[in-house]
Amino acid sequence: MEQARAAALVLAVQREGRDLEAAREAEADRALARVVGLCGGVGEVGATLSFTFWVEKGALTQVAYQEERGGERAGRPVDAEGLARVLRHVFRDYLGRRTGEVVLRLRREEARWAVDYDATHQGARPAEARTLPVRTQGTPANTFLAFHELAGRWSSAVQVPAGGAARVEFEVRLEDGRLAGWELREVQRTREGPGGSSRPLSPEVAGHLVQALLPFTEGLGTRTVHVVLGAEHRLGETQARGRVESARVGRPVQPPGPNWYLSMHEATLLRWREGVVEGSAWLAQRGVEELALWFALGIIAKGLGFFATEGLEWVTRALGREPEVVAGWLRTALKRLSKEERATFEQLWRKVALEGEQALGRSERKTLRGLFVRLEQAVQEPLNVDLKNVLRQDARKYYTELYPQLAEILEKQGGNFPIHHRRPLQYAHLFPDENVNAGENLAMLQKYVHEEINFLWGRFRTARPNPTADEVRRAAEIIDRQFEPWYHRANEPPGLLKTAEQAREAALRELRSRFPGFD
Amino acid sequence: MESMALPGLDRLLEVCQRLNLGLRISPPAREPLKAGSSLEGLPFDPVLASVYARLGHVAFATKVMGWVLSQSNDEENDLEKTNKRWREKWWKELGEPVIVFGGDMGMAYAYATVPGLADGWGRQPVVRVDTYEFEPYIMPVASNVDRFFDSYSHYLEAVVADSRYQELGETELVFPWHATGLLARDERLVELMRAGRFGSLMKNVDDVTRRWAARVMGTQV
Repeated sequence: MEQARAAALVLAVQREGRDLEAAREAEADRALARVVGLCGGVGEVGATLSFTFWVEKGALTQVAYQEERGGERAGRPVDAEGLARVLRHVFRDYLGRRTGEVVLRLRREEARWAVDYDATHQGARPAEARTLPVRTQGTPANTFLAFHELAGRWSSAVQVPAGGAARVEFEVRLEDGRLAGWELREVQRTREGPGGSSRPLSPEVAGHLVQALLPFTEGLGTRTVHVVLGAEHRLGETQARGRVESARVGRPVQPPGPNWYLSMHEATLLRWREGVVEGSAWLAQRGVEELALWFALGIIAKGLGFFATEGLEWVTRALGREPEVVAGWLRTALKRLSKEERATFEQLWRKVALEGEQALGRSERKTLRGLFVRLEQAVQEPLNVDLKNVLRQDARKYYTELYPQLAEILEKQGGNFPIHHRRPLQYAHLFPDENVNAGENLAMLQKYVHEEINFLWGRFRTARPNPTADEVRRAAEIIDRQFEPWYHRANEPPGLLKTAEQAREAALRELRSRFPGFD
Repeated sequence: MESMALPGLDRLLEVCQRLNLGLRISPPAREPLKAGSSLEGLPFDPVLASVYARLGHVAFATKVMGWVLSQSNDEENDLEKTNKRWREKWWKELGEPVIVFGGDMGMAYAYATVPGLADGWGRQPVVRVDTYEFEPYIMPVASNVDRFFDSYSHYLEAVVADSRYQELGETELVFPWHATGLLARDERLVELMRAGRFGSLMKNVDDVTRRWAARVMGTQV
């Protein structure tokens, strides 16, 4: 069911007011601008640049980059416009129409780049790959600035032996399009020079590094890009040169969850990437169902650590489950908050999901955690009669989605077939980490059967005015055992040897034997 | 009496059609129940008699899972079956007999008239009985059946006007919980409530419902 909801959202994203062809063209234009940019700094004849993309439905996600040095001889200048024309043709008419892994290879010749591509490799679909082309130009300014600052700091920390060479390995951590951190892994001197003081990298290296890394920001989720940079100092020059030899996406830091999580995450990000204002307005229109799913999936992607707040027991337990279960629980639990609280929750969560956790100010972070604490309290409070009505309405809608074959009978005979909560709403607060509206807790019944069951719960309440969760669970099991044949049916179960009255008496006997004092 | 004008019913039918909310109608019985005739020993409401003279069964606003008028025609007589069971099962618990004529789709909420509170023309007020709770839970919703249709039609308009419905095709508005303003327009209903005429039926209600009733009556709790 959650998967179907996610699919509907993805479809809505694709269709609502978007020009898909323009988005495909924008993808191709961004990719070719980056390729042309990287080629611009290479003059050595024989040098080869390889770009590996995962291509799907026009979305181009770069997953690897590799550069092989050529000879010492520099070729004549290349007409960048001519290269762009060739690449535009390749991206728009060939690569952009495919699905799968594609390697684009460019080899520097005397006065031009020879362009070739290979789409025969059957690579597995990488977790960060997108499926929805994004209509945007270039990189957002804040991403660009963050990478520039990183590259500047990093390159000033590396020294190359005079007249020698070094190999530098580092990792860049990304979360969607954001720079989440970086780490220098190893600096290895690959060639000692004649001696003398080490030399810093030239400022051009930082610029090149940014150029090589920015294409990786288009992927999805949490991931690490492993980068190897070759640096050398040529005698007579004041600073060292450097080029990225390879950059590739490693495995994600955390498992990304099910596929449909990523599709939904991509769908919500798409609007954001295509324009901040439109993105948040579009998301604000989503209903609580999609929001709950969105919250749930984001929580799973971020890990429970983010929500680790003192005093959260049931909420943490509920959020630690499968995405489907978490989404269902949140959907019902959020109904317990006031409209204002839900609006605040939604606004803060939107910020976390789209701009990253670090975008939250101190007081916003405090408010969001406070709302989780409020949720913790709310799920332990008995439901009032008004809220029960709302939850029954939700249960009925959810049930007809689960069992469309029964929708017709509900429409025709209305009140004759109530949707029954196997564990009653009355006791929902005794199971704070469970979704009282979960599919397995719902069953359509004939009205008279529902009345028999209600009679039993009425007797149970008299015998146990303040039952424990375990007592309720046991009573529900006894009642289920007797009445299960009538669940999800509009008529009498065929071949059944007992009547509903007999089932009630049998359940009553069992309840009496299990619960001393039960009248 | 069976030819009585039913502006509330006409409006509800019109709203369901105009707003494309779904409507399912079956023809009336050849000999429908007459006003004042006996149903489970109680006089049949004259407004309901006029309704059943025109229609045998209606599912209102099916797309938002509205409510269903119990079937009573030559094909099926759910009205009689339901009320026979209610007499056996619920009258004693309610402390007052009622005649059930419909219910919300997929819910154990029934709509019923209260013969004991009929006005000078024999028109009976309408209550909603919630049989989900351990004791039946009553909320008065109209001074007569046609006013109930009228209020429900306005409630459906409110649902459709709600931004949530416009964006997602669903609602969080629940009748009659979120229809106090509409019910307050029914002056006779408010009079009956203020006079405490539903007091014995409403013996099981909690504070939330008392506050709801106060909003309908325009009083403070």
